[in-house]
Amino acid sequence: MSALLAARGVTVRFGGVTALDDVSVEVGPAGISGLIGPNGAGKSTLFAVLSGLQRPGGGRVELDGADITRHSPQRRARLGVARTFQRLELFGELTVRDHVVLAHRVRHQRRNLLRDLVGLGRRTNATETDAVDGTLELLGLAAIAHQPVHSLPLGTGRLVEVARAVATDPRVVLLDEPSSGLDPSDTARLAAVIAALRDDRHLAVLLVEHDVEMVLGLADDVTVLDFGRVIARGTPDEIRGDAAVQTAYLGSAE
Amino acid sequence: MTARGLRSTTALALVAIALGACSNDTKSSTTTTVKAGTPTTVATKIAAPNPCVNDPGMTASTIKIGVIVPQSGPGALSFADTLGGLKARVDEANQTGELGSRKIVLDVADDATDPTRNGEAARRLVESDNVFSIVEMSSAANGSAQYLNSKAIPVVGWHVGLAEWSTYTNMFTFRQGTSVDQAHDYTSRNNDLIKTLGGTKVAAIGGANQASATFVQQIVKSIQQLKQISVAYTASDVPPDQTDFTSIVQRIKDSGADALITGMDFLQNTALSDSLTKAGVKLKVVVFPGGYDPRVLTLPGVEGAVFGLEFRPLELHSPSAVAFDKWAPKSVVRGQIPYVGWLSGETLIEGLKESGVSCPTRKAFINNLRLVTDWTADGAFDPVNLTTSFGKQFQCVFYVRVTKAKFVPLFGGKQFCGNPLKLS
Amino acid sequence: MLIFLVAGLVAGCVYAVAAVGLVLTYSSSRIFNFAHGEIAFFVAITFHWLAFSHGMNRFLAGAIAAFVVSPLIGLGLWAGLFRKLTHAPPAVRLVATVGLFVAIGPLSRIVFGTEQIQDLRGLGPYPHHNYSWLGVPLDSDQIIVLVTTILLAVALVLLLRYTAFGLSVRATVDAPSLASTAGINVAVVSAGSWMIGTTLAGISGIMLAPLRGYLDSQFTFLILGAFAGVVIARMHSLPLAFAGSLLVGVVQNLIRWKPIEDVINHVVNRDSVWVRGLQPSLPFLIMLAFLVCYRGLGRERFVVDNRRGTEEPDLLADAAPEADVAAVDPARGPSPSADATTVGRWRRLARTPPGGLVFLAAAWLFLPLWLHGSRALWLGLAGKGLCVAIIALSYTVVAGEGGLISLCQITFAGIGGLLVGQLVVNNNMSVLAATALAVVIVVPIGLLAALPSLRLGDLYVALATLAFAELVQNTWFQLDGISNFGSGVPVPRPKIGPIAFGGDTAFFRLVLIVFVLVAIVVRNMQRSTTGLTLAATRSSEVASATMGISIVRAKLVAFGLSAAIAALGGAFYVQYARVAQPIEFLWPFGLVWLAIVVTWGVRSPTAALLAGTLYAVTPDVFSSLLHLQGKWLEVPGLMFGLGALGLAREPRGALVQIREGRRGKQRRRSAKRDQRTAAVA
Repeated sequence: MSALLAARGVTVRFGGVTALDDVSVEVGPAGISGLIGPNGAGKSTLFAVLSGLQRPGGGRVELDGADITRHSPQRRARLGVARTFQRLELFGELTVRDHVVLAHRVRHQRRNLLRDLVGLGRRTNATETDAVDGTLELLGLAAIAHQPVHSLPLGTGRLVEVARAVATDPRVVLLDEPSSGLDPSDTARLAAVIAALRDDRHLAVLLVEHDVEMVLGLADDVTVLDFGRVIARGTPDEIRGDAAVQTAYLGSAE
Repeated sequence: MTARGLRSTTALALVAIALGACSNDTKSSTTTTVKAGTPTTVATKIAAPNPCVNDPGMTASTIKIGVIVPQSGPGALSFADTLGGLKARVDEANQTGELGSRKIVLDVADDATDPTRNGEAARRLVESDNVFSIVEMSSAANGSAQYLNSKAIPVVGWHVGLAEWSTYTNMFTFRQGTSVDQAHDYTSRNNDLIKTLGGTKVAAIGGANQASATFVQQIVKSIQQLKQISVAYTASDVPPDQTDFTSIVQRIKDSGADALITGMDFLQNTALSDSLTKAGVKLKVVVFPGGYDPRVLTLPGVEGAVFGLEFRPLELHSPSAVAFDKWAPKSVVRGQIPYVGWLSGETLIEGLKESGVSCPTRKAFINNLRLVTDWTADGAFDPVNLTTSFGKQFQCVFYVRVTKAKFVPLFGGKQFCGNPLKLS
Repeated sequence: MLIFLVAGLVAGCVYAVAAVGLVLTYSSSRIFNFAHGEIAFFVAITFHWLAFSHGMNRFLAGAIAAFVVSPLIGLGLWAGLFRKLTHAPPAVRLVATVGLFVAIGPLSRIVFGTEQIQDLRGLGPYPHHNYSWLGVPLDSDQIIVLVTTILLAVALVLLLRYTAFGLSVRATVDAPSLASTAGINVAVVSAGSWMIGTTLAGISGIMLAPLRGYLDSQFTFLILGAFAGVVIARMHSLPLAFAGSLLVGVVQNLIRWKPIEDVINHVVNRDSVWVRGLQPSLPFLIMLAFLVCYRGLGRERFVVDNRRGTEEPDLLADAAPEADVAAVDPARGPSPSADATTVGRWRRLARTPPGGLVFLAAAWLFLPLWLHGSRALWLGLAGKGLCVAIIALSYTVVAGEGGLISLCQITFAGIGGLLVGQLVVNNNMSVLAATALAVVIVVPIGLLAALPSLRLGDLYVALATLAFAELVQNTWFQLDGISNFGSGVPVPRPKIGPIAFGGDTAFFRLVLIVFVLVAIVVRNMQRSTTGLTLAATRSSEVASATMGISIVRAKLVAFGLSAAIAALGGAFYVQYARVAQPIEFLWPFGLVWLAIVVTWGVRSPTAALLAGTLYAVTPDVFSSLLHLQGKWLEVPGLMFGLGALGLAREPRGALVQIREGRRGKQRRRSAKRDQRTAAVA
């Protein structure tokens, strides 16, 4: 099974600190890949590299086998890479629906400044409305679609980020610690949504998480990072039993 | 109005005194040389109507005169003090009954050296406050010139180098304005002055704005055309805030110049002169275009400098100067700016008298004052023919030199005249 | 050559004083103090007044001015303004200091009068003593500046690096929330570092006034020159700020060295305006050169601004609709952007608050009827206000929508207006045709002005646009044909066929229609995909980028559109004035307009209308309605500047504050009603 999105031998250094050291990760054409590791392991940095916000010192990023290491975030978005952020990066005063609509339009609608200024022509069409409604339904956000996001609780905000990411019709979605700060019921809801992304929309998902149990319960394969290096890779069961992983998380095993 | 504008306008004012800027028509466009349409002047004086029919602003006992002068904004620093002199002259006229049964009442408006606001102030004075005539002491007077001309309102004041005073016959600067073709109608006076004072190699320094740079460039051209003395070094791109002239002084030193003429701000002119002294550069002639004010006598860089004046130096105690000193309160500085206000007032009173003290009218004011052939503003300068001098470049200026912290009139107190010079 | 070099170093030190102060203030309090020079000037004339008008010993006076007055000014500003803006983005705080910049000039003239200080007395001996170093003349005032600068820089570096306070300052700046959990009183530290900043400004003012003169323009220009050093320092490096300032001074002086000057003369015509404008523009050219280098060719840099969270109010946010779910009803007027996504055009129009349009229609009809005869001047002023309001709408677009603090909008207006003058006089075009052409020409100019700084962030945009304004003012505005020896170029009022719009009434009505059309365009844009895109890029650049939005393109659109609108306003302005003069379009005027627009709300066309009208009408209200004279005429200028301080209470502007206040009252009233009905039931 060839990977859809892959990091190959990525190395990133900040001053004297090596954040990532020869890290390779694959996100398969379908399914949920998990990425876990203790604090400071380099998960966020890897995300930044994959989404184009950080250029690696060494190594490559590949999408469908093509080298996209030097591609801008915008170009990667056009090629089908979408992501969410651990610290919510929502557009404060816009509504939930706005986020989804904008994401959809960036992908599907041709820019027309003149039309925007003059206000002529139909702005919305059935295709867009259907797609937007569908995404909102999928994420369970239809009821609050017209609320501005700054008034929403954290859990809902995270769902909005996912909705926004999904609305660009991506091929792979990178989720950055989406359950961080959520209570168990929100987490469960989120997990269901992620599963739906894989099952209903057939998206590839890379899930970075702090909540190890959530990842092990959801993912098809898991990669473990520690101190910038991959220390384990495999199915959830394999990872559960891995001694190196246990050491990394819990200290030396008794 | 801004600091930058202040720079340009102050430079403009200084320019005017030294040579008089010219009018707007450097290109072939015709619309800028609007000649005064109305009112037309007749060759003879218009008599005062009897019985008296009051023009706007006039009652049996008062005449309301509008005044437009910057009172706010940075430009106020340069012009606000004219009011003191104007008020003093009006006080004299009122208290000595120069206008018969009427007293002058001043209605002062602020234009903040902004031409648009100058136009608005003029409209308010004329349409709302119904003044009889207007005194303009502002570098933004062009904002209202066309309007006031269209309404046939008499205007007196200080030309500050604006071409409008030489274009509209309803406007009377207190002595004489500038020419109509700025780029070409010039004077040999600057060249002659430097030559007479013993200069042979001239350094000409100006600021980076149009007024100052043009001033310098025209001096340079006149010197080059007359071929009597030479230009050793010139720079017309000094930033408006520069007060450190070490580099320019070095170039002047290297060039062997023995004369300096500057067209920058007064602050900058003195800084340059001071820098020259610091660097041990001895010049025979240093000419400042303006800044005649007793408060500057002790500033570094002023000693030995020559200042140009549009009027007889106050030190010569002309009748006008004596009256000014008598009627101006102690708080009014005996310097150029307030005295210009006094002279504007003098022109106003003269216009009113010429139109007939019994019943002044706007029409008679404009017509009759223009017909005066020997205007001296009570001895403030040599006689000027207000008909023939209109629209022509003024050629004569009084000069004083700062000697031992005092203004000493040059050339025996007489005015120094140049000849008309056409710049190629 | 040595003399030119050393002279450059000395001149550069003067810039360095200011640059170091700016950088230090910014890096310790995150406030870029645009009014640094004005504060320096104010303290300088306070010192002069104490020492030379009141006979106080000048060292005592200097000490009081520097160590009592300056910190007090800082404390006052902190308590009244900046304390409440601690979580606001740097752009908001920059605009607050712009308001200060606007206010201090009038304030100083009110307090100290309009009499210009002619002498150059200071702390040093007077007249100054002259020395010579390496053949370069140096006087006692300059030596005081040099020595004090070095001492101050050293003292500050020691303070920041080796004291507990300095450590607290650095911690607070980097991570305020962490710092407070570590026991640091963030408020005290921020206030303290800001006060150090104003003290630095005060000290530099006292030192520099004998060199530069006691004029506020001298200090304004000094700060402009120091901006180059600030940019070279990337806003945080003191040594680079110093070095950069020295570089500017050296370049300015070396360019006068004969061999170099000869080379320049060989290549270009020295009398030409463009070359003349080079000298005063040098600091800005250097600044722009470094901006282009720093931008990192090609790659967009992303700064995840920690303070752009969703919970903090932001200058640029719209008024928040009701938060509770029950009250969110699309039929009740939701946030503007929602309209774009759900409904067709006509339904949207129907929902536009009718009040605004009705009011304007009424004004169109009845204002001329009321303001006629001797009151016609006020109608003229209303027309002027509308011209300025159109220019203010350009701020709504670039700052409100684009989130960019552009300080050269007035320059675009000026280029538009002056172009109209040229086209009418030289090419015999009709005024309205010239207007259309001028607007089109300005757009690429606007894009050009934006380019150097777009990838670098808000503060750089402000500085770069200021540099652009200066460049244009020093060169194009100075052309003989443009400035016309101070008289400007006459511009007729517009005419469409036989209909002339020369009178007050006709012109007012015409400009009102133009304003309404432009406001509609702006509203359309706000609610369109472009508006959504700009809202997104304002809120989070990283999220926008990873979504596929080109930040640069979005900002360029905002800039281009705003330049066009500004040019349109400028074109009508010169028609109002009947003359096109560069003096009306100098950038300090534009700062006043920015301050007023921001005071009322930079997202709202209504605020733009208010800004323009207030600007045009207030001075005349003071002089002709209230019959005030002299010092009181400075009050409008003071008010315009201080209005921006209202940002402290409501960063989104006064209109939002009023609206929310009203809504709050409504809510309380309906809550009371519900309580009563519940009690009855």
